Amino acid sequence: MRASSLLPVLGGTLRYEALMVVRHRALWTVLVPLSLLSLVIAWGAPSDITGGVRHVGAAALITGILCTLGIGVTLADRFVRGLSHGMGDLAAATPHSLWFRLPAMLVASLGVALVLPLVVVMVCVVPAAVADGGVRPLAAALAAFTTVLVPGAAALTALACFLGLVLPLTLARVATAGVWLWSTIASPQILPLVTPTGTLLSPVGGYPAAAWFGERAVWANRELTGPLSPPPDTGTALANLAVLAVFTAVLLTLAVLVAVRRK
Amino acid sequence: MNVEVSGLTKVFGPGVRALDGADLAFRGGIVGLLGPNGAGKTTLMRVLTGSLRPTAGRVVVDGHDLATNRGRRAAQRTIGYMPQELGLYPDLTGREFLDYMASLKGIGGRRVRCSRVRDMLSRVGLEEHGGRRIAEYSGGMRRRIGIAQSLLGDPGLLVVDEPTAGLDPEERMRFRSLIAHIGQERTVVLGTHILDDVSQLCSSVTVLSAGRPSFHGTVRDMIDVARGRTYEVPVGVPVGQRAMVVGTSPEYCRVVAPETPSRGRPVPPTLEDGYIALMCLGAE
Repeated sequence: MRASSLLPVLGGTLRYEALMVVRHRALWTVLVPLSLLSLVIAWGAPSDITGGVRHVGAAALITGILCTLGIGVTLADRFVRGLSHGMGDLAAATPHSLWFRLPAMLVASLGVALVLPLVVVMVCVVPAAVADGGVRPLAAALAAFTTVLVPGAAALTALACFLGLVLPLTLARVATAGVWLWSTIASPQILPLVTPTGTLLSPVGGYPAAAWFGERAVWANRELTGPLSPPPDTGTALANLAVLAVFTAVLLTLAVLVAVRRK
Repeated sequence: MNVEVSGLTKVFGPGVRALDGADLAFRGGIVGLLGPNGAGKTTLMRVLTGSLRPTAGRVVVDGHDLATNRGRRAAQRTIGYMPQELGLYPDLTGREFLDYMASLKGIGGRRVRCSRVRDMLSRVGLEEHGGRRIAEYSGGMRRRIGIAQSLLGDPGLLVVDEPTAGLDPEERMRFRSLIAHIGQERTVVLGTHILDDVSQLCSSVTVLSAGRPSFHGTVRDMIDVARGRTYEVPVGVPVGQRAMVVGTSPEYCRVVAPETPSRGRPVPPTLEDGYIALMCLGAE
């Protein structure tokens, strides 16, 4: 595909998919209460905050656990609505490539949906900055948002959008919620289940939070031992991010292959 | 614009052959595509627009072979498509939707797109409603947005599937007029069940039956299929087992039959008679 025709496809997809997510009432109906709940849980009075960086890391982790669930569940329809009968036929008759359009749809949708979680994390910067007496928590909050919250949200939303293509939408939403809780909350120490929770495969963001923002190690490995649950440090945090990036890329690839195969 | 189709086959799952070795050629004008439900009309139109890959066979649109990615993309730059089911994005306004579709067609430059979108809205009579969300549009307005998006890239081939289905008489007239105008300068493939649309608009007709063309010719040729086989028979007189009743009035039944029914009076056939004769009696 030539660059001259690729740019309008990417630009148009980013712009209008983002606009449609802005107008997606169900997303805000779910995300506003979850964001408020995150804020209530993550908020702390300056006198109670022992370290500003750790506080914003914890805020990103909590906000990620709650809001990502809502984002994944509500955005499960993004791919299928653009590829199903009617709209899908219209789009398929245009000379664009799904290898560019589907990733752009994911980026646009996430870009809008992550605004509220970002606001929550940034609000939590205020007491942290007061406690620290400086603006260091502000930079830490942006970094925590990017490394703790965004990778898991991208992976879960990619999974949700893929499931939306291969399953009935309601089932895809339920499965997305189940996968998120299974891979972030359901610890094998609590439930007798094989689960990624407490391993490098978990999308919860515990490894970056513990390695870079001073969060407790329990969020990373859940006090498990073994090759997939190493102690958190920069190497294991990067490994966790790499796993999530690969996971997201694989799901996007599968989604494109499914969409192409339907032609 | 020339369209050549040879040996076109599309199989959906085991045993469902929507197209079965179809050979066709379109060379300009408005071509009516007729056939019973399940004959393969929509599948053929989806294959022609590159939105569906054939199982076998070859489709060449304006010299571009749709079998290759390069050929398909090149052809799609010259094709406009309005599907039967228009699942347009309800959250976007008409103007935004057209701009999005123009982007997907690779029409670059915001100003160029804005100008094209404005032209298309004006052409389909929606310039005053371009700022309203599609969710608020009537069925006819959605169809008009559908035809507007199909014309965005100034296509040489326009494929429209059941464009007037479900429209009120006024909208149908408006649509006919629009398609007639478009057909003066482009090749238009018009898939429809509405024979009136075909008789008013089309220069030629192709009838699909069980995934293959069973007839291709002018509207006049199709009417001629029923010539000498169309009769008026007084109500109450038996018309015979092979006769098809195509209309009734208080005094007469209009029938298409292989032989003259008892007390039957030959009458000039219409396109509907020709279609019925073709489907039920064959082209003899």
